[in-house]
Amino acid sequence: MDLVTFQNTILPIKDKLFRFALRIVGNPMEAEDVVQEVFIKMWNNRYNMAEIKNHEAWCMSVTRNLSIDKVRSKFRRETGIPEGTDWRDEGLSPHKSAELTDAVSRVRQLMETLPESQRRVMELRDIEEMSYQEIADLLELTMEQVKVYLHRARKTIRQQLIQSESYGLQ
Amino acid sequence: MDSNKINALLEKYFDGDSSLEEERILKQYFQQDNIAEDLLPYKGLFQYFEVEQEATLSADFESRLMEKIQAPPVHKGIRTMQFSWMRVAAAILFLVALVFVVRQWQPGVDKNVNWSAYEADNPEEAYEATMAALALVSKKMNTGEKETLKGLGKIKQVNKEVHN
Repeated sequence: MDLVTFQNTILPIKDKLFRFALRIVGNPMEAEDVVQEVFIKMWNNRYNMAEIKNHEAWCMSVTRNLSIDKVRSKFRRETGIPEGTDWRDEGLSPHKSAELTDAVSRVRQLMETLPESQRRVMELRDIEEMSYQEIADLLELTMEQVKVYLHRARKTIRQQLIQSESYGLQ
Repeated sequence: MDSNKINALLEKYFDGDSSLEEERILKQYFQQDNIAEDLLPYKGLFQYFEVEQEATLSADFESRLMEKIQAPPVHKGIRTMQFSWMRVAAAILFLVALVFVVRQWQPGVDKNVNWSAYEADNPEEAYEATMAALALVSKKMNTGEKETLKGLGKIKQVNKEVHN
């Protein structure tokens, strides 16, 4: 792999990797470090990359592992980012930030109440638009589990949305 | 788009049966302003997906990465060199140790013993020494034969018992 191929085929997925890392580590600076590490890893291994069929899947899975490592080491250090830091509006244009309605914030809160695995599957499907097979490979689940998690997550969110509507909270 | 069709797609979505293409249609529908009253509760959900898709890396990420990738790997080079020197040193040390150990352990003739002092210097002495050696061998052989015969005797006895 040469630099041009790297720039044309690998770099374009950088934001996808970033969002995936961000949802695990919860902090944009650390997520950016993770993505940088992934790319450097790939570049250093560029001569062996021919053996890997799907570069994107490889990058996603390395991103996942590095992000989990980061969360674990942060947990061990017990320092890090103060609770309640809202990272999400960073990276959005001021225009978009202003558009963030109450309804969107409400969904965000609901998503956070979902069990980790259900939430991860729903994010990969509905935000990253990945196929069931891709999600199963990445999270090391069976297709059946992916479908069950997705179904449960969406069902919970729907119930909550209808409930808050009937209470007049919307 | 007709809200009945959207309703049907929504049901499929919540059942987990929708395709990516159908999910995109839903996202597009909820991006516009003309949303049917009964579908309003789901507006926030599909807008949330769109908003989340917008999170991006900082603008200078790519240039910083390129700088890192293209920088000559100076430190790494030095470290590799040091590492290989360590390996060479370790290999030499191992060989020296091996030679030392082998020499220490080598069983063999003790060079300090003067064996020539034990050598026979006339025919009589040589004859006596040979006879003594042969007698010793003969004695050991006879003992062996006796033991064997004793064993054979027992076997014969057993055989007799069996045949009777």
